[in-house]
Amino acid sequence: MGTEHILTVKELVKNFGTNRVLDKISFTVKRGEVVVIIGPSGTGKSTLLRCINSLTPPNEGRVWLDEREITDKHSDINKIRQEMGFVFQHFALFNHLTALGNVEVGLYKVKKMSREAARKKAIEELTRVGLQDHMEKFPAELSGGQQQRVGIARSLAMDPKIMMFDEPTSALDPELTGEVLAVMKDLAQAGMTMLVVSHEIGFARAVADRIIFMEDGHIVEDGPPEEILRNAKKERTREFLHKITELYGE
Amino acid sequence: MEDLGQFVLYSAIAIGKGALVTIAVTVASLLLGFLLGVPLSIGRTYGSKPIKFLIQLYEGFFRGTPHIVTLFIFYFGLRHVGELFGNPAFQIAIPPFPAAVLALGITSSAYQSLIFRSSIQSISRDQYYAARSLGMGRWQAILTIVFVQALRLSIPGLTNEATIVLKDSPITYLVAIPEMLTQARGIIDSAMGKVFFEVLIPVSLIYFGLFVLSNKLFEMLDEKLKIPGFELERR
Repeated sequence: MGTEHILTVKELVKNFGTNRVLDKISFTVKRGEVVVIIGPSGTGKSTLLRCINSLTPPNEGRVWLDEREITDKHSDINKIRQEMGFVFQHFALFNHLTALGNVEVGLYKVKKMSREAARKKAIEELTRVGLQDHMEKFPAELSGGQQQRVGIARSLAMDPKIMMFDEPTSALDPELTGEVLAVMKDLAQAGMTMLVVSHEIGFARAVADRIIFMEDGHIVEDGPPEEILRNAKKERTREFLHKITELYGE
Repeated sequence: MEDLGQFVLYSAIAIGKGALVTIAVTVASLLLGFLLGVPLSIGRTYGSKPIKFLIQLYEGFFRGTPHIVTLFIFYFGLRHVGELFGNPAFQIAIPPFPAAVLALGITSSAYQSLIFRSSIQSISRDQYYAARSLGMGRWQAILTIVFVQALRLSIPGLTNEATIVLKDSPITYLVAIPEMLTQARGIIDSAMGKVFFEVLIPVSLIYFGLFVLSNKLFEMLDEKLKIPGFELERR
């Protein structure tokens, strides 16, 4: 494990009952790399993300963030999770808190920052995602795209080493998808390490350093976008790509 | 005429004192029910299997047993508990007021636990995971993110529970708590049956007034804690 790899996943296994959702998944992510995971639904993409930061504890296998092993029972999982941003498909905002409250709560409750410092940092992060005019609004008063940007700001505020996105735009209509993807592009350009589960092929082509194609709990292909998108090695990958390009466009 | 005036005054004071005791029994029982109901609901939702089972048993017992029986167990039963072990000298003598509050409060805790649990379950699980993904511990996530919202959603259920406890409070008459019904009974007895409705109708009206007041207080709480769109936002 060189320091070049920020995330290392080794032979990760997750079973739901007798159903093996992840079957010995191994891969690494380099510092600053943007990796997009694609694949048919039900192939374990979301489960993979949740197993990486142990929101869903894996059955077998090991995961490291830098040199620290997340899957080690003795490591402080709450400490490590602070350094791994997680953005949810359905936003998962705290509905009793304003946009500002959502972003600052982790700062003063978890990072134990002072209320003033937390507020200052939260305002910065919300401004960064373009929500400076909506900070006092509650989640229900925001559009889906705005809610997701609050979700991103909430994770970013913790100064994570890696950001994981679980289908961040699939609950949004195309118009709102654009504003979320724009924020993600900015993040990638700023050098954030990102692991993104998404069907947005356009985003993958423009931003990803690597695309991982998953099916049935396995990684089928893993390579740079031009290679995967233009000449995938496996017939199944080509078939899937053809279908989603038809659906989502180039 | 002077006698009648005195009788009315004396009765009004007695009923007034009784009303205060009724309020005290109700508020104390609701508070005890709340303090027990909160951990019970959390244990029932997030606890291990044996804990869930024990809480289910507790809830079932106190919801399934008449309140009078519960009251008698706390007041009379515990005085005789030594006899079960062949040691009649051993007794747990709880004075009437604490016994009444224990009986009504524990019963209420079983109902309040259910109210909180259904609210907890209506908060999306992803909000819990989101809190954990920020690095919150299990309890911190449950209490600061999930449970505060559940409490907010529980206000309508608690409004109802408060009126139920208020209207159950007259059973404490049976262990001689000087609450409103006990006072009313005393007045009726002392007038040797000459008054009846003259006492009971004002008493019912006071109960009704307390019911309206309690509803109003919860309504104000509901208004004060209003969050835009909160009730609509369920996933």
